[in-house]
Amino acid sequence: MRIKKRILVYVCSTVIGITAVTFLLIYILFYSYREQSFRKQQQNKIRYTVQLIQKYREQSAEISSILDEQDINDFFDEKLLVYDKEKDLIFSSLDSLEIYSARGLLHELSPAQQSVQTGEKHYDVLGAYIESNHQVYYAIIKAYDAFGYDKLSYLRNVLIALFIGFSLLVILVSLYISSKISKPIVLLADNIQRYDFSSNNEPLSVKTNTYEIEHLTERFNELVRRTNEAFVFQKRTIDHISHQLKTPLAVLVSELERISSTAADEGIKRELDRQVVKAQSLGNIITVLLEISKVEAGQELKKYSTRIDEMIYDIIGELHIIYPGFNFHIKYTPQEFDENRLEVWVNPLLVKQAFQNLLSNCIIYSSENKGSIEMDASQNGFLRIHISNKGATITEEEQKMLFQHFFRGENSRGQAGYGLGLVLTQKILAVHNADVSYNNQGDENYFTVTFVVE
Amino acid sequence: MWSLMMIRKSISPAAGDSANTKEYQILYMLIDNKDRVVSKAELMKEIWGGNVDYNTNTIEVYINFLRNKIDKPFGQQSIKTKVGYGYYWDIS
Repeated sequence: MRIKKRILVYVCSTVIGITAVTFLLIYILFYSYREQSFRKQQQNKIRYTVQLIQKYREQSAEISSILDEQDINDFFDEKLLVYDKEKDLIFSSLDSLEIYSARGLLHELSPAQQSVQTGEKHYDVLGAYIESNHQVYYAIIKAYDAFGYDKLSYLRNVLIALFIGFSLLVILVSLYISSKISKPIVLLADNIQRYDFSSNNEPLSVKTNTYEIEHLTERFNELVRRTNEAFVFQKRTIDHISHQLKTPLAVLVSELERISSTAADEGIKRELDRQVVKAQSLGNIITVLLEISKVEAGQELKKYSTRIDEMIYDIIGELHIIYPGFNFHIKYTPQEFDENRLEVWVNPLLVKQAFQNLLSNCIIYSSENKGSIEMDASQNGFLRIHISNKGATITEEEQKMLFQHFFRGENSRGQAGYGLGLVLTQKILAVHNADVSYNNQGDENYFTVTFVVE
Repeated sequence: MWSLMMIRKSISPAAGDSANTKEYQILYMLIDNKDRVVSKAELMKEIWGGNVDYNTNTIEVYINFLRNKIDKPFGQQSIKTKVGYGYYWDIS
């Protein structure tokens, strides 16, 4: 999530959430206040009515109409029932409203329980125990608090309108603030995104008066400067080492070729040719190591469209000079397919070295004078090269370390080597988005190289 | 030779004049021996050398690649098969 959006979401959700809770609390408190206020009002009404009943007891026949007239003037939509100490009804207002819970409430009322309340739909129902002039009365009143509910409804509408208005204001203010705060960070991130590390760019500059952003920009420029210096140093060192190692090798190859061309003995001539191939191979390994170190240091690898099978035939031809008695059985799967599926974008020098290692191993570790190579283009999007031979296999324990530096299995005992060939092979293939795997069946060893074909 | 150079470029345009692909070598060998059938073993030995097993489907696959380039687009069949033996060039 972008920082601007994050600020917006955090601020809006926090402020709007707190506001919503506050407004809800106000509404609940006012709702409770209305109930209390209305009940107090109703209790006063009961007390006043009971006093009137006592005062005009003897005129009981007329009292109802007198009281009711007053009631109707004072309250609308309400019913009042008054009982004597025996809980016999002595007064009932004329309103046709019924109190359904009257019996239950009356039963609950006692000197110990002097007030009970309940609700019937929107009506408040209140029962009260009253002592007046040493007389005991019970009264139950049911009424609709039109005035209170009206105020409550007004308050609710005001709070909703305020909430919507306030939320919109918070969103707008948050948008402005988040934009203001994130602008230099976004600018810095965009500049870093566009920064071309492969060329010598000008130092990054972001116009801001924020200390942290200025500091980040300065540190980034410092980092780039140091990295560039390290790259230059590394490039010079690699070039220097390359020159120091490859020049004497080239001289050696040239000398060996010269001696070979003048040698009279066929046996010596053949041996010299083998040494030439080995020296050239050493030169190639040095080049590959330097190329891999460049790639690992972040430099881009040059790749070309390459026919993998043609490359393998070239390697077989070169290996034939060193191991003339060894034969490869080559097979294509399937028999007919588009030859483009044999073409892969690779650095030929590096991938050739990878296959050279695998094919050399295939020859060295074979118990027979033959090995097999299968060019498998049967699965769309993949090209697999299976290289197999018969010979001592690698145990499951050893397989876990097969592609680690300096690992040499039991089957390599008595063979020259340093345990670096397969590590190099795996590294080369990894930078080409390819991989190498090993498995065995009986006394057959299988190495499979898998390329992703675009 | 000029026509062969053109064919070589069409076979492997990326490689240019220095192309020495197996396909070109097969074609060259068939044309160079157009009066006779060239056996699979002969092709394998001359082109792949002695270090590749003769019992392989490599020749069939490469002949197929060649036919896709020089025959199929033009509706002709210049590389003919002598079943169980080899191939010969016949442009008539």
